[in-house]
Amino acid sequence: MDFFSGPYGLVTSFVFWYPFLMALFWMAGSILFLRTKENKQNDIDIDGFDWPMISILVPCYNEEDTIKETIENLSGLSYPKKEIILINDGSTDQTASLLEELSKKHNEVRVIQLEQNRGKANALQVGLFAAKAEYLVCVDADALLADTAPYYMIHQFFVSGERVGAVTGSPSIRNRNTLLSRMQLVEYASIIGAIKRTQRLLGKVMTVSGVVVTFRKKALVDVGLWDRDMITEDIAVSWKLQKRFWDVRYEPRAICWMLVPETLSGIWKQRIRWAQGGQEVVLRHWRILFSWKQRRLWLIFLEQCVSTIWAFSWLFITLVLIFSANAFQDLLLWLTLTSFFLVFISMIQLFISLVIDSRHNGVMKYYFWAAWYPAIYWMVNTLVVVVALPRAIKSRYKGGYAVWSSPDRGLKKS
Amino acid sequence: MVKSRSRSKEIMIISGNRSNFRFVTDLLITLFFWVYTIIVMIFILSATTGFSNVVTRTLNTTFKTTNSEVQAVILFGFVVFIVIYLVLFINRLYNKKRFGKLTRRTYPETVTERDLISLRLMSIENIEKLQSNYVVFEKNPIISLKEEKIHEESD
Repeated sequence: MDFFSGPYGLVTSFVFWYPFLMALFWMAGSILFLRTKENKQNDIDIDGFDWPMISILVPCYNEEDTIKETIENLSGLSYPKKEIILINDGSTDQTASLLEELSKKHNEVRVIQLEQNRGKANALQVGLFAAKAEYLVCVDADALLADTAPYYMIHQFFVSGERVGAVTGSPSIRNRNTLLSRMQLVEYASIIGAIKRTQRLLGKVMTVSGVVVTFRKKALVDVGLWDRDMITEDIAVSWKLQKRFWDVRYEPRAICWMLVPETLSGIWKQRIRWAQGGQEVVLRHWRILFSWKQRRLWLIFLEQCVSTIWAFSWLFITLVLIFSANAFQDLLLWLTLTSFFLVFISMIQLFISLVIDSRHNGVMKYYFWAAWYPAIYWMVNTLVVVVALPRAIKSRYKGGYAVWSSPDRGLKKS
Repeated sequence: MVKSRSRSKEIMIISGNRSNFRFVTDLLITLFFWVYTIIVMIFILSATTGFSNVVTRTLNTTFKTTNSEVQAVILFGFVVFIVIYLVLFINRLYNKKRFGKLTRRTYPETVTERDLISLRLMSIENIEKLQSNYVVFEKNPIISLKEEKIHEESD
């Protein structure tokens, strides 16, 4: 087969086989997680358990459009013992006055107004010092928690949970009107779910979901809280916890309804930030490779590195193809045998992952919009990684507070 | 059992305004990708099962390949999948047997004020201030990154 001949055969092989094999890996992992962990999870007895108090931390930066709905959702949760701490991170819109109003309206709401914007990690740190509870549920200011979500997450700390430092929930997308949001819906439900399930099976996860996660305060104090100089505080703290041998668990039943960007620039900014965050973690924690005790983190560390190398390899091969093409047909990347195999395996992976995730959030019907995914995913992912890398290096070199603006939150409710 | 306490999905899901033009455009482009995806599926599944048709014949000629070569890749993928599944399964069994019964940490104590102070990130006054219902900080109550770094280096 004339797959990978020519002077760049090795790179071409890598560009094809890496995503092909990783798709098989995520599929195998998510099926095994389903069979061995998810299927065995019993429903929890809400009324027969003495639920501990929780502090719900909500960092807010320019959240005037969404914060009211979020607080109404949080204060309406049936969870028996809770306090809601809103931390205004130097917003420049009407968030401060809205929060003041909300604190008067809801008894369990406490408000901290920070007049200087110092980033989400800083706001969360302030929230931790203010929290009275031992369990901190961190929720984004544009997200709504399903009523059962806190029960499912907290319960994990009490099921052989002496080592559990964090439990990450499952984000589900609220805005489903545009093509971009539907594509992200498929992605969250399938790719992200499959990766989390497989990594959990291996014992370490790359990251908790910043949009919904519950931390044990003791674990956070043990690792020195969130890093304020890392662009993605959720990825950074996941690594710090796991380096200190705190477990991070994934609870797919803890649903959190969130908004996703619906513009290309919004998604672009968000993805650059995610990629940069992953790369910053790799640059900060590379010494784990020399510690046998940290061997369980090696796999996810290496996966992050190899993915970055893959993105550059893909770009290289694509550029070679473009500049060496003799005819227009040579430029049609999608009409090659290797592309056919990748599309085939991607569609199977998306289908299996959606079937698994659909048990919790019924997203199977959105498989129709998955056809876009294999066609454009590689390209977007590649560009994001390539653009993010110099930023990550610069950020590590320069240091300072990691401050960023939220991407657009999609269409407003009609 | 978990009682049905959650708000209905319909309340959570936002149904925004979308023009018919945009809807039809999205639909048509998605259908275009589906046509492509279906051709991919027909080609690979037909070639794998040895069922020759116009699609497989045309594409085999275009790609300069044969059904048996496609079968080889799919079979290889299937074998790799089984191997990965077994490796993960054995890894799980090993972990369960080797580490499952160990309790390598007792349930942690709750965080005390002393623990918080020992972080050296915030003054006691500010920690106490944070316990009130509504609090405003003109200056960030947590020490600066520079000061934090100095602390780390002195440890």
